Amino acid sequence: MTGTAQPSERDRTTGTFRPAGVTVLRPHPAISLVLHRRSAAVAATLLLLLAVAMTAAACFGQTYISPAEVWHTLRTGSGQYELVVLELRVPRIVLGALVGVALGLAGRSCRPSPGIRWPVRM
Amino acid sequence: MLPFLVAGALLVLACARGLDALALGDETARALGHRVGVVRVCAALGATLLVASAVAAAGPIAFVGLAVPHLARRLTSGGHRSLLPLSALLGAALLVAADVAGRVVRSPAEVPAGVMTALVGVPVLVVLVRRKGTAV
Repeated sequence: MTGTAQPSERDRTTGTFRPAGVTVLRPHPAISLVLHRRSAAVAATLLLLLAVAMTAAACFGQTYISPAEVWHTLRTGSGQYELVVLELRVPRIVLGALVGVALGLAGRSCRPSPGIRWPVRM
Repeated sequence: MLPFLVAGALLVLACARGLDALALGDETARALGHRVGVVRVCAALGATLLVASAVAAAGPIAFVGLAVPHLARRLTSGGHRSLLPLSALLGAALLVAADVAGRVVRSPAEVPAGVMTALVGVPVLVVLVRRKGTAV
């Protein structure tokens, strides 16, 4: 949508033309998934950032709990930090992530590409 | 809250193609075979459900919905089928990070996550508004 227009690419397996920057996955002859390569790379990076943020959220607080101890508590469901990790921090992390997802999606669905009119009139 | 959140997310994701077409203008979207009114209503209804469940669960969180879509737009060139999931991921990462930051900066006191997101969101918004030739 933004940036310079690129010529379409010829799909090597079928010989048909596809928009630039797209890979078509065919796990099965009846299934084809169009993958936008740049978006997939950005998504992988964001997932990594989310994992880092979640780990930090589980570790930091009034008392610091090391990642190894958090992992131990999650795996066994018991131990010294059971209350703090399972009852206080994990629910808060899940809630934060869900609310973030909701607000991100809602914001996007009310916003157009730059320079173009709003999808939802306000 | 979860059923409303899931319903809103599905509704918004379902009209991703419609939003792509709508970005070209009403007449073009109609010419491409999209029902413009239906897409608008679905997008607005989905967004309403999402924001309602978010506020009910966590209270007012400022500027995530405002700044995240613009950041996502800068990160990729894909259409809404890429943009919507990326906005969701970015929103989640930003909010969890803001929550941690709020707990760490004035420890043992806590800064609300909504204040932390505003601290990040306001500069982003100012940069976007000041940039010429870009609709906000």
